[in-house]
Amino acid sequence: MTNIAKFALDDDSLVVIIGSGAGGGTVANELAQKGISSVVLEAGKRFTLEDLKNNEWEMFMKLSWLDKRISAGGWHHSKNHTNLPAWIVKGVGGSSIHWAGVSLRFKPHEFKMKSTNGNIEGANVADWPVTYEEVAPYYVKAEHKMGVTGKATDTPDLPESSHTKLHRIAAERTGMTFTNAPMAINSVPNDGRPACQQIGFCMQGCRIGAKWSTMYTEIPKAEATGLCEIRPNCMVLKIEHDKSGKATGVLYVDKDGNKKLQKARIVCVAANSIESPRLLLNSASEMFPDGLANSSGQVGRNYMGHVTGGVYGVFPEPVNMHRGTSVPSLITSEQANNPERGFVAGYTLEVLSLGLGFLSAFLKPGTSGWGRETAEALENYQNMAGVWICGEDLPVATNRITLHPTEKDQHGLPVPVITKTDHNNDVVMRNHAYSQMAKLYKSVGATKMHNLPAYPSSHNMGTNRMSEHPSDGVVNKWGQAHDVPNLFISDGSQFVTSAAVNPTLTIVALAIRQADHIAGLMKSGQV
Amino acid sequence: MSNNDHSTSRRKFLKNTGIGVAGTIVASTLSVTGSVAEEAKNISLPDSPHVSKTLLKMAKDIYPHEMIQNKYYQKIVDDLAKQQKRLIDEGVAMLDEQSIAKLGSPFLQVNYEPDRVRLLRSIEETTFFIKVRTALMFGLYDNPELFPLFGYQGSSVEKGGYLNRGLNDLDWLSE
Ligand SMILES: Cc1cc2nc3c(=O)[nH]c(=O)nc-3n(C[C@H](O)[C@H](O)[C@H](O)COP(=O)(O)OP(=O)(O)OC[C@H]3O[C@@H](n4cnc5c(N)ncnc54)[C@H](O)[C@@H]3O)c2cc1C
Ligand code: SF4
Repeated sequence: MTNIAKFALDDDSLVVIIGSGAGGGTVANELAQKGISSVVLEAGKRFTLEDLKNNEWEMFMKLSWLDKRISAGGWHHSKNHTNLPAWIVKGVGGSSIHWAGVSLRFKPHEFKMKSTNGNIEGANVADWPVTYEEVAPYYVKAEHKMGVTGKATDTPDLPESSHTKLHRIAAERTGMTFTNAPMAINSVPNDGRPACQQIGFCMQGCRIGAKWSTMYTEIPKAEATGLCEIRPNCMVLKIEHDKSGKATGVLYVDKDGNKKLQKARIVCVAANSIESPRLLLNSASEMFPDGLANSSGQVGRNYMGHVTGGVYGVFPEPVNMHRGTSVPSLITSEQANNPERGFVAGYTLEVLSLGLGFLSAFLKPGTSGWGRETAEALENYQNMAGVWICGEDLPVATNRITLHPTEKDQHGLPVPVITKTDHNNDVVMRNHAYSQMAKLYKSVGATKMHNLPAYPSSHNMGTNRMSEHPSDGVVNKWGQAHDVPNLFISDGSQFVTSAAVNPTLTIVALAIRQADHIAGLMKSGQV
Repeated sequence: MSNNDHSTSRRKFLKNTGIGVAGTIVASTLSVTGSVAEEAKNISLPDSPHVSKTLLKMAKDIYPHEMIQNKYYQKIVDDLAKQQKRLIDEGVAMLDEQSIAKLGSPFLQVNYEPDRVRLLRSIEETTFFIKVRTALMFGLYDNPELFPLFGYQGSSVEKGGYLNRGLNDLDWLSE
């Protein structure tokens, strides 16, 4: 590239974007395409396609955010994943490097769960201040940007694998609804990237770039405009503001350990749902003693993952689930909100292959996961098939990100504590999913089933939620902070509820919509 | 990313990690993977034959697989014993002490499998046990040399993926 932008630290005309993942990378490119200049500060390094290897643990070590975090509360992570509450990437491209690519829209009712179900005891459910109808045109844009297979872009589904075939037949036998997954993975060459070769290590980073990731789509496109400067290895410590309460810039530490202050006209926070609220809390000042943009007290609260768990069945003959796309297909029968089942909201069953390495760690996490039974289970690897449960997790005010009172990270910042306890609705839903899976797998001859508890959280949402009224949430329907008009949240932390589907398509749709809004505000001089 | 960066960041993480399996799992990759695949055939000489034999017996109770030869187990635990000598020596001494107290003889001489397993269950939350177990988990299940025994095919990009290589060859279920 010839024309890479380089901006001065005291340039106060810029949008400064924190984080380069699904949300941040998208905002950067959308703004760049509109002629708006930005600097993206990314804590992680740049990877190349050659860095992406077909090995689960090697890539986990290479890509993951491993700065200290502490799990607390009633979820099993407090015991079994003490320092790994969530599974998030640190690198240019963020978690869009290792995401599987499942791209589903929320359903209209999933933007208004409070109106749908009324008050739910012990939960902090609210309607989104934005409706499905308002987001729908941006879903279309996101689907085209990401090249989502199937109806969305009128491209073929990915080809059927044995893993999919087993689930399709099981669904037919049990009357459940089966569908190929709409994937942000090229089934045909598109956007200068090749078609998927069914390599099967999607969650280690797609070595050939067939899967959409901001790492090699949005980021280089933004850079090519000459209007976007990416600064890798730059960890933001604090957002600064002036006397009027407007954000003025961000303090960060670069790869050599030098602290720098980048001035800004607008700040977009897209550091994923643990780091984004942590940054706001760490930006407390005399004027904002409880943290920046936190007059509602909701920063860090309502932390949601998904109601989740895994189910692996053992079959009499080989399945070879590792061959092909990690998540090839879905069972969607339980997505509806049908309280007659004993829980509100719904869930999706997502066919998911794990390799031997991950399966050995997650089959029975915890100190007792060894012995003859575990060894025998793993010897059946070739004959296994599996799903991942993705159910709507209720927002609960006490499930939250807080700052540890004494422990500090390598930059001297308090480490985040991630406290989460299942709501009873979550427990009932998860058990329902396990029993549906038993029906499904018995219909195709399962000889054994393994129910796995939740993995370190891959979907993280809700900790800077949207609200109509400033007293109920952190940002408005555009992701703009109620308290700080030139501060935006551009990631999944703005979610109000979590829906029965994966979050990234919605994160990208909201990011495109937000970029439009920011461009409008800048043009009219409102920020 | 150079190997160096990789292991420094692992080391940093190891230092910061408390007990808890995921943490330990991650930390243990530091000491175990890498070396396993490269030289599984040169069984390294243990510092102490008793420690080495005890660890082998323990390893085969933790993840018993008839199909895996002893040399693979041995290599994993001996490497660990070398890297974390003090912890492992003390751990084996503790195991023997408890074994003598509860079962009347050192661990190596306990022939009845359920007795050994019960003893190991009682120490499964100790750092010593977790270290040995996670070393085995990586050494056995994240070891490309052993993948074929499990029917796992490992890295596939260099073979062009599965698009034209058995993607959908399941033939034992009728439509
Ligand atoms: C294994 C796995 C599979 C998944 N599969 C799917 C799927 O199929 N479908 C789906 O919809 N979703 C999936 N997800 C979730 C998806 O990856 C995330 O929802 C999405 O990437 C979140 O986007 P984001 O922009 O909020 O954060 P991220 O993409 O995580 O980006 C955040 C970035 O901010 C950086 N950062 C954090 N703090 C700072 C700071 N202080 N200063 C500078 N930079 C900082 C981080 O390094 C990171 O690069 C999956 C996740 C995992 C773990
Ligand atoms: S299966 Fe397709 S998307 Fe997944 S890693 Fe392989 S080529 Fe990439």
